[in-house]
Amino acid sequence: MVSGMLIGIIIVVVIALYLIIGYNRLVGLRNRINEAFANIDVYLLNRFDALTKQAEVVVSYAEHERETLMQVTRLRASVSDHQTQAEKTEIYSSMEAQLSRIHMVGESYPDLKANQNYLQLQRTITDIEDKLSASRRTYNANVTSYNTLIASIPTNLYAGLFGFTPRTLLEIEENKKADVDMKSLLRGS
Amino acid sequence: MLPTYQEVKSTALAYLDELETLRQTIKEARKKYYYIIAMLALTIVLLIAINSPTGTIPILVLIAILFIVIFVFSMKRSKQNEAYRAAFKNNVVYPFSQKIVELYELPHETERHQNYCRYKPDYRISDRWIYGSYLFDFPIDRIDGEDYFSGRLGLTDFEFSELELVEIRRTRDMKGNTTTHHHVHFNGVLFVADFKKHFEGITVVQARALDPTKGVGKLFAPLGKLFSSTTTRKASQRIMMESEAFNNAFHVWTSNELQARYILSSNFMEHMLSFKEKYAGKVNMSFVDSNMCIALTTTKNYFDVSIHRKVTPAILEEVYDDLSLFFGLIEQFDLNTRIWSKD
Repeated sequence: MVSGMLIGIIIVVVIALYLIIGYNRLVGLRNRINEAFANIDVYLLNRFDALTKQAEVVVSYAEHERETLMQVTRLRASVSDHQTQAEKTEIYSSMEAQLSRIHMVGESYPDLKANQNYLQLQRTITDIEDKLSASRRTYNANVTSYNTLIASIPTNLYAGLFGFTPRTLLEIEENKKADVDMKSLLRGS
Repeated sequence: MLPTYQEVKSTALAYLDELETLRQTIKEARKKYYYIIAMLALTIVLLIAINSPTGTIPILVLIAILFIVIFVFSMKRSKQNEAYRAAFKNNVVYPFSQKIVELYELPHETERHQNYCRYKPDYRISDRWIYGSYLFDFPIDRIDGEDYFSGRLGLTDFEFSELELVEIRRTRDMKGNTTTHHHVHFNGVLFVADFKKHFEGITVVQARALDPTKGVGKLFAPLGKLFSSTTTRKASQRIMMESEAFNNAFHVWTSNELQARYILSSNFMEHMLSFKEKYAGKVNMSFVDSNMCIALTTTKNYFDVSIHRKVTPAILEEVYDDLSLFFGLIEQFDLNTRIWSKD
């Protein structure tokens, strides 16, 4: 009888340990996902700031674009932490569309390509783009691991009880999946 | 682009005749010693055979002379081998490396691009990189190395050398007798280059022992994933990349997942896979302090030549191929493309 009780206790302890390890793993993954998401936000903002600085250099050559730049600055001021990610993404897209226009104008000024400030900012932007890509990949990788874990047996038996629900992967916007028409872009249409 | 063998071979071909003359001179000098040793040995044998009437003292004296001659000959032989090897390294390998680096060209070079290379045949890469690369996670009791190259190609600083890392194990049996065993953990080349991006943390990319998509590897694939070990506590997080082919070829350990993915872009992973296909031995890499470290395992003794072997144009081509392998790592991994914010 004593040995039966002992076996029972051992089984309970093993199950409890398994649950604790599984729970901690889910918490760890969830935190990594949140961290990756926060990093995306940071890099989006960094990218925008770098693009704006570069646009300022362009505007110093093409004064007529100053009004566009001021519009972008006003949009930037409208971004706040209280907005949802979707709202922020929409504002960023709008700002970047305006900035792209300014950079296209910069193509008409060959002297700009020799401007050290402009070149350094270009390298900074490339760097940030790569880090943004890395943070998105980190996010998606952790979401995949997390979703796989909460759907797997036996984690799926208790994940829902503790509030662990599937997260969505970051997806590419539809307009960015389309092929780029280089001819139209270069003609400025 | 590295120059072709045709463009650089004249540098070393010019010295081939001189090297062969040196080799023949050494061989002739040795013949005299072989003759003296043979004569002494023959005399001793004859005296013993005829039961020399003069007694054993002359025989003992002759044996002593024979040992002295053999000892002196061994010392001289060793020095001659060293002299020949040094002549080969200083007059063939060194000028070859200089010529390759001098003719190295990149499109759109600026004043920041530089090409130079230093060669120290008897030196090895510093301990800083042996321990600081986090590629050798085992006890190291003895480090041997040679053929140290350092310099710059384009915008990338580099250094590399041959390396042998040995652990000395001592075991004691029940009777108290100690046995010493020298275990060679690593034999190959450690190559370190300034990476094209600035990054933080440590990322280690270890080659998998068995490819889980081929042969025996298929059987042990699940175990491989369970039992892969980190090479350092500082890079303790194991991550899976998006490329299945890459995950089948390498394990990735890192101290910072975002930085690891920043380094290992899709393009870069393709470069790594392509290099692994080309190189016959095991390849491990790490990314530390904005530098890239590559450990190439091999049994080959690079940039060396035996006195018993004539240096032919085929051997020169082999030296060129070896130098191109290492200098070519900078091109293989596109380290001279500097479009990020690291200068």
